Amino acid sequence: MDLKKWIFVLGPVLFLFVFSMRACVETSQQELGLEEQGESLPTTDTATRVFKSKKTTEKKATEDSSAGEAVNDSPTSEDDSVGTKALDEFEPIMSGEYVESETRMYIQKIYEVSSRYPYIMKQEIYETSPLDGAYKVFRGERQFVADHILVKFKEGWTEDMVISAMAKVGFLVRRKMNTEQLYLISFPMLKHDSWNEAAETLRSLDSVSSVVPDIYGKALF
Amino acid sequence: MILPVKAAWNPNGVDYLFSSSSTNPNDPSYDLAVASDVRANKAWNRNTDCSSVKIGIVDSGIDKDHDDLTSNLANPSSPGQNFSGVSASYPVKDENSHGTHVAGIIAARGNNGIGVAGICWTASMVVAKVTDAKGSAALSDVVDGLNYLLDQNAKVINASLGSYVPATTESENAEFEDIFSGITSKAASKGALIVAAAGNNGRNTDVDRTYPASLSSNYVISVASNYEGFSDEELLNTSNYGGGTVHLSAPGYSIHSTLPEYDYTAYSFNGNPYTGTKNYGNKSGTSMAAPMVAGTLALMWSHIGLNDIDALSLKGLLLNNVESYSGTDGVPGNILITGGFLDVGLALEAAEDFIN
Repeated sequence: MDLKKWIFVLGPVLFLFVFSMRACVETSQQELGLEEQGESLPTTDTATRVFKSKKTTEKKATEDSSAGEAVNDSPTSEDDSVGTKALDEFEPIMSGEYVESETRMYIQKIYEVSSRYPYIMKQEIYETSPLDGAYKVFRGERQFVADHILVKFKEGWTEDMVISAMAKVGFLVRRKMNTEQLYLISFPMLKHDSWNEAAETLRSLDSVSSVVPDIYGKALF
Repeated sequence: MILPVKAAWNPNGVDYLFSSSSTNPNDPSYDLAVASDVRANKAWNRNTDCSSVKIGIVDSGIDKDHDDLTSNLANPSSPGQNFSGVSASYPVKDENSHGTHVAGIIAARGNNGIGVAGICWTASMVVAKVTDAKGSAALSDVVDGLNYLLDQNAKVINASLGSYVPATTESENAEFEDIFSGITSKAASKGALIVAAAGNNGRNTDVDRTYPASLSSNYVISVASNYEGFSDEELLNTSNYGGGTVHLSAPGYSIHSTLPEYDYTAYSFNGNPYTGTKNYGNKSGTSMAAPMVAGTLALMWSHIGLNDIDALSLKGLLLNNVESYSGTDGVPGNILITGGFLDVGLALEAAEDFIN
C-alpha cells in the first residue's frame, strides 16, 4: 500500500481515536469535580479582573534576596485561608448532605481536631446547574465550630430569659459575649446536620434576631 | 460633614508629585518598609506623631519588648488583652509573628536609628490577641477583640484578619450585619474607624464576603493589596476586591517590618511550620496593606486634631485623596470603590488643606 492509501485509511481512524480520548478525559474531569468553577456556567461574579504576569513577583523576590531578607510567606490561596488542607489530614467523624433549598445543598463533614474548639464542620456549598437542575455548581466552602452557634437575641431579652429559653429547646448558653445581646449557644451534636437543625430551631424563636455560624480557621490575612 | 468619594484622577496629585519635599528618618531599613511605596516620606515633613490618637490592633498579639515597638505601646508592660484561649508568658505574646509585623507597619519607632520606621514614628497602640500560634481564630473571638479595643477608646482599629464566608445569600448577609451591629454601632457612638484587610482569596467580596471587611457600616474601611503602587499598579492576584465592598488598595507585597525578637515558630498558609527571621522580615497580603491605611488615618487625625474632625469626615478626606488607577497595568478602577491606591503624602497634604 502506498503512502496516500495509508493516509486515507488511517487518518479517519486516528481522528476518531483522538476525539474519543478527549471526550473521555473531559467526562472524567467533570465526574471528579475538576471542572473549573464559572468557566462554562453562569456566575454571579460580575466584576472584570485583569492581571498581568508574575514579572513583578520575580523582580521583588530578587530585591529581597539582595537585601539579605527571606520572604517569609506569600498570600494565601482560597483553600489555604480556611485551613482546608490541615483539616483534610483528619478523618471526618460524621458526614452527609443537607438540602437547604431547591437551589442549594451542602456536603458537610465534621472533624475532631486538637484545637480550642474540638469539633469543626467543613461545609461545601453546591447550587443547582441551570442546565439540568442538579446540585453540581460548587460555590465555595465554609468552616465553622460544629457544636455552637452565634446568636443575637432581641432587645429586652435578659441573660436569665435567654438561659431559660435555651433550656426549653435543649440548648445551653456557652458564653454571653460582651457585645450587646450576643451569645454563644451550644447544642447536642448528634449527627452531621445537627447545626442546621439548631439554626432552624433558633430562627423560629420570637426571642432571636439573627443566627450565624461561628466561622473558624485561618483568620490572618 | 461627610465628604463624597471621588473616583476620578486627582489633578492635585500631579502637582504634588513634583512639589513636595521629603523627610527621611535615620532608621537604616526605613525605605524597605513603607516610605517610598506609599510616599510616606512626603508626608513626614508635615507630621510623624500619632500619639494623640489611640490605635487598636486585633491580631495574633505583639512582641511587647521589641526595640522598635515598645515605646509606641500605650502601656508597654500590659499592652492589651488575650481572647485567643491560649496562654503564653504574657497575655498578648505574639507566637505567630503576624501581629508584630502589622504593628511595625503602623508604628515602628521612627528616627531611633534602628530597624524600620512605621507610618507613625510615635504612637499609642493597644492590642487584642485573638489567634493562636497557627493564626486560627473563631469569628466570636474577633468580635470580642474588636469590642475590647473600642472599650479602650481606640480611634483607629486595624483588623488584618477576618472570616471568609463565600456564597452568602442576602438573608445571611443581613444576619452577619446584625451580629456585628453591636460593634459597628459602638464604633459609630465612639467615633472610631475600623480598617480591615479585604482578604487573600482572590475573590470579589461583593459576592464572597469576608467579615469584618465586608460590613456595610460607614465606620469600616476595606483594603485590598497592590504591588508598589506608583511604579506598578498591579493588584496582587490573591487580593480580594469589590466595586461595592473594597474601598482602596495599598502595597501588600513583601513588606519589610518588625518580627518578634524571641524564638518563635510561625506557620505558612498551608500549615507548614517554619522558623522566622528574627527582629525584621518580609510578609505579603492584604494584612500588610490595611495597617498602611490605619497608620495614615492616625497620622492625618493627629495632624488635624482629634477634636477638629470626626471619623466619617476623616474617612472621606482619605478616600477623596487616593491615587486613581490609570489602567496602564491592567487594573480596572471599578473593582474598588475609590478606584485608587494609598498615597500617604497626598493624604497628609489634604489634611494640611483641611486645617487651612
